[in-house]
Amino acid sequence: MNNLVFGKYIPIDSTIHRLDPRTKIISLFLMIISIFIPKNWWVYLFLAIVVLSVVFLSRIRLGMIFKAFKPMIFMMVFLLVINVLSVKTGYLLLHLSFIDIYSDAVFNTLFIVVRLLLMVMLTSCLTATTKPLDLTLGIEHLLSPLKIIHFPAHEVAMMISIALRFIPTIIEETMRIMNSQKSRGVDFEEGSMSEKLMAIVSLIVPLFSVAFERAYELADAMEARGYIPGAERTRLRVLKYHFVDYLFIFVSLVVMTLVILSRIYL
Amino acid sequence: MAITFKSLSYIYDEGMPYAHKALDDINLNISENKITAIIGETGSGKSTLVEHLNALLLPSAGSLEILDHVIVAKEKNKGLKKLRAEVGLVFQFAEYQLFEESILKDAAFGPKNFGFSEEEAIERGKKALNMVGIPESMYQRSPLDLSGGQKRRVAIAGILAIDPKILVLDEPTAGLDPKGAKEMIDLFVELNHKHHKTVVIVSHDNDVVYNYADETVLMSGGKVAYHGPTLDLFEDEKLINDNNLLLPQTMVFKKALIEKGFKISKEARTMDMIVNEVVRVIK
Ligand SMILES: Nc1ncnc2c1ncn2[C@@H]1O[C@H](COP(=O)(O)OP(=O)(O)O)[C@@H](O)[C@H]1O
Ligand SMILES: [Mg+2]
Repeated sequence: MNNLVFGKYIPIDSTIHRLDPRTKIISLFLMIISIFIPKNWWVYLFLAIVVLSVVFLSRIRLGMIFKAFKPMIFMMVFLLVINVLSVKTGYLLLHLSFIDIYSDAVFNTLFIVVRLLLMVMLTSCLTATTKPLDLTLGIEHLLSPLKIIHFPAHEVAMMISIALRFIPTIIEETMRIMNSQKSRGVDFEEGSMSEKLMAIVSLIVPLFSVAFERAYELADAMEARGYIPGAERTRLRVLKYHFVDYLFIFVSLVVMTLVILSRIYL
Repeated sequence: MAITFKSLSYIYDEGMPYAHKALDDINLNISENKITAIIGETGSGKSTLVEHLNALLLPSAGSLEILDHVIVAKEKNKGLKKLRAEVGLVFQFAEYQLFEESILKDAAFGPKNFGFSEEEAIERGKKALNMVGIPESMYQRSPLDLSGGQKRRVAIAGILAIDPKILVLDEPTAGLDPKGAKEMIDLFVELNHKHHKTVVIVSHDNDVVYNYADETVLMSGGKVAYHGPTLDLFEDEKLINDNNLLLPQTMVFKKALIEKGFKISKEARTMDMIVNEVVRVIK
């Protein structure tokens, strides 16, 4: 399952792994805002250094994060084509027989690409260093003020955590069903259009049937153990901020402030 | 030799920090026309081993010879589809592969993929369903509405319909009722005795292994801890203790009889055989 690196938790120990999930979510939020503000390459260099330091602190190999980029390459090429076709401002960069390429088209694309890259790096850092359950616990805490306006923070968090919990299971089931069908001569890579369609049907139907079965089983199991939506529950693990957490949020705030100031004054 | 493993290793998620070596330098010969059982604790690598037999997993190191196919680690291996027609693999919880609108169509799906005509595939599907004991009256029902045991039978028929030379079964009776499990095992034994299929069966039921398997492979921590005649394995106390193997009930019974003074031959390995010998003595 080497192609599913993005979004996978990597069980090692690091400064980032030990942070409170709420800290990571808040900082990610602040950093993503910061990433979308600047219009200056020097500021992006600064942000890149910040992001790379976070990656370094998380002890996740850069190579693993870059694997997450591969599926994005197609999208980036697509963006470039759209921009080249539509943006006609700036100075003329290149004159081909059938099309003129303007500087703004290229720079716009580059900005988008750099923003996306930085964002994906940070997001994969979050998911790689935070267990899915901790992540939802963090989300639940951050959403809980909304309970005042009857927003079902706990239920939403439970739904997210169930969904996250079942992603690996569903991937596993998918692999298993694919293998069963390969044993029956289905070729998922080659074949004509109608053969491909049949291959997909032979995968999708059992997958749905398994998913529904799992859902019913889970609902029964939860009920059998007395789960009542909305009821007050205690926690095994209580979240607590430490000094590093405050430091981290502070640094993120400083970065965001600097970026905003740069946009105003540079 | 039907199947030969040569210094074969397999690593899940190779190159990742959480990489896991599930098979470690396996050297193994599985003989043709015999029933070979694969036993071992959960996580010892049994499923990983059998998924190599029809090239669903390709070795990380070493090589593998199956019939006249050779699979070498890190090389482009061709002809995998042909191999899959010759080695039929029934997965653990095989019922999850069912998807066609009718039982008969599902059983005929495999042969159709391997290039048989529509009519021929249906013919083969019918024959296989008959073998696993699914009556004709059920052919047009949806496979998704069956009970767990019936689903398993239809799924097994889906592989039998391909008529492979080597039949590989990963815990085919797990979760079946005792009667259904016995019928399935009898079917595999018959396929071996009458139709000369090579049968490789992963099993947790040491009685099934003791009763029917000519040879047994004992897996432990990704390595082969024992490979040889089944009856010798269960006589080896050190192996049994080291691997926490449960003694087959049949064997315990036979030993108790021998202690009481009954003379029972070494070959008597099923309840029927033992009872027959006892009856002959008493008469
Ligand atoms: N898809 C997979 N990804 C990573 N590790 C796996 C995968 N499948 C099995 N393993 C690991 O490989 C080892 C052997 O598994 P398996 O062959 O399924 O054992 P068995 O069938 O004997 O119970 C186990 O430790 C298991 O956790
Ligand atoms: Mg297994």
